[in-house]
Amino acid sequence: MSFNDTQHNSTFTEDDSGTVEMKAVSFYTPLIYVSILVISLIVFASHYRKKTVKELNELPSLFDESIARDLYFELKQMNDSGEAKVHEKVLKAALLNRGAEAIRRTLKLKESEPQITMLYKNGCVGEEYWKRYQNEVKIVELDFKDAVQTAELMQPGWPQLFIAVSKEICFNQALKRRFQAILLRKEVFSKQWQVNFDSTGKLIE
Amino acid sequence: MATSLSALQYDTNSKLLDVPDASEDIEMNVKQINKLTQDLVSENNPNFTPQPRDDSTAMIKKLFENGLKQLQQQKMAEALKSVNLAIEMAQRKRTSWEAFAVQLQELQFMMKNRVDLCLVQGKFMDALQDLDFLQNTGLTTSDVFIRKTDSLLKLKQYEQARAEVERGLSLDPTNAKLRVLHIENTRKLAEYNGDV
Repeated sequence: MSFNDTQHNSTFTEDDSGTVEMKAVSFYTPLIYVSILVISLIVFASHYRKKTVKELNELPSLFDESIARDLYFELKQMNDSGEAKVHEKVLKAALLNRGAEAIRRTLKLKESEPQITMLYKNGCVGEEYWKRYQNEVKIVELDFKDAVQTAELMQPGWPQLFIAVSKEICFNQALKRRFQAILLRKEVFSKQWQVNFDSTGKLIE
Repeated sequence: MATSLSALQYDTNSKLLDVPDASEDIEMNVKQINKLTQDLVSENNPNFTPQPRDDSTAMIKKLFENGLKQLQQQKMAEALKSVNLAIEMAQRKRTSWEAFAVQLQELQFMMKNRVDLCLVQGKFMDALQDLDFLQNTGLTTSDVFIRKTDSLLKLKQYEQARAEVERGLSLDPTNAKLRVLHIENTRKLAEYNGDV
C-alpha cells in the first residue's frame, strides 16, 4: 500500500463524470454584472479625468496672465451688470485685441515647438514642462475658439473676417510696439554711452 | 503675476478706457483697445477688411513726397520734419487691421529715408535707433550695415561697430564700402586701446 494512497493513476472516478451540478442563474445576473462593471469604469474614468484636469489646472502657465482676455471679460461684466453701458464698438475692440493676443501666443508656441520637442526628447526638460507646454497649446486654442464664437454672437457671419482681421492686428501691434520703443531705447543708450546731444538731437563732441 | 483690473474706468462720452497706476502690460493693452475703438468709431462698414484705405495712403504719400521735394532743394531740416510727419501720420491714420505687409513696407521705406536725413544732419543716435528698427523688422541689406557701422563709429562705439561691420561682411563679403569701414574701425579701435 502506498503511503499517499495513489494506486490509481487518475484524478477522477467514472462516477464523477456523469453528475455535473447545474445551478439556476437569474436572467438579471449578467446584466447586473455588466452594469456594475460599466458603472465602476465610468466612476473611475470620471474620477481620473477630474484628477487630471485638477493637476493640469495647477500647472503654472508658460505666459503671464492674459490681460487682453481679462480686459474683455471685465468690460463685458461691466456691461452685463449695468455698472456702465459699454458701447458695442468698445466691446468689439476688446474682442479684437483678445483675438490678436491669442494669435500672438499661438505663433509664439508654434515658433518654439521644435526647440521644446528637441529639449524634451533629449531629456533637458522634464515631464512637467512638456505637460505645461501641451496644456498651454490647448488653452490658447480654446481661447481663440471662444473669441471666434463670441464674434459670431456679436455679429452673425463675422468670424471669417474676424480671424483675418485679428491676424493683421496682431502683426501691426507688434510693429507698433517696436516703433514706440525707439524713443526709450535712445534715452537708455545715451545714458549708457554717456553721449550728449543738443536740442536738435545733434551729437556734441 | 495676478492681473489687477478692478480699477478699470470707462468714459461713456469718449468711449476710452483707463486704468490708473497700471502695470506696463495693462497700460499697453488699454492703449491698444483705445486705438482699436477709435478706428472702429471712424469705420462705417461693419464688415471691414484688411484692405488699406486710399485716403490714408494718399495723405501719407503727399507728406512724404513733400519731404523729398525739400530734400532736392537742399532744405534738410524741413525735409526731415516732413518725413517725420509722414511717419507720424502713418502711425495715427492707419487702422490696426490694414494689411501688415503694406504698412511694414511703407514704414521701412520712409524710415530708410529718415536715416539718411538724420546722418546728414549729424543725428547719429536717431539714425542708429531707426537702423535697429529696420534690422529687427527683417531688413538686413548691406546698406543698413554700412549706415549702422558709420553711426556707431561716429558715436565712438568701436566694439559694436566691429560686430556690425563683420555681420555685414559675412552677408556680403565683397562689399567695398563695408571693407573700408572694417579697416577704418580696426584702426580706430587700435587707437582707442592705445595700440597705435
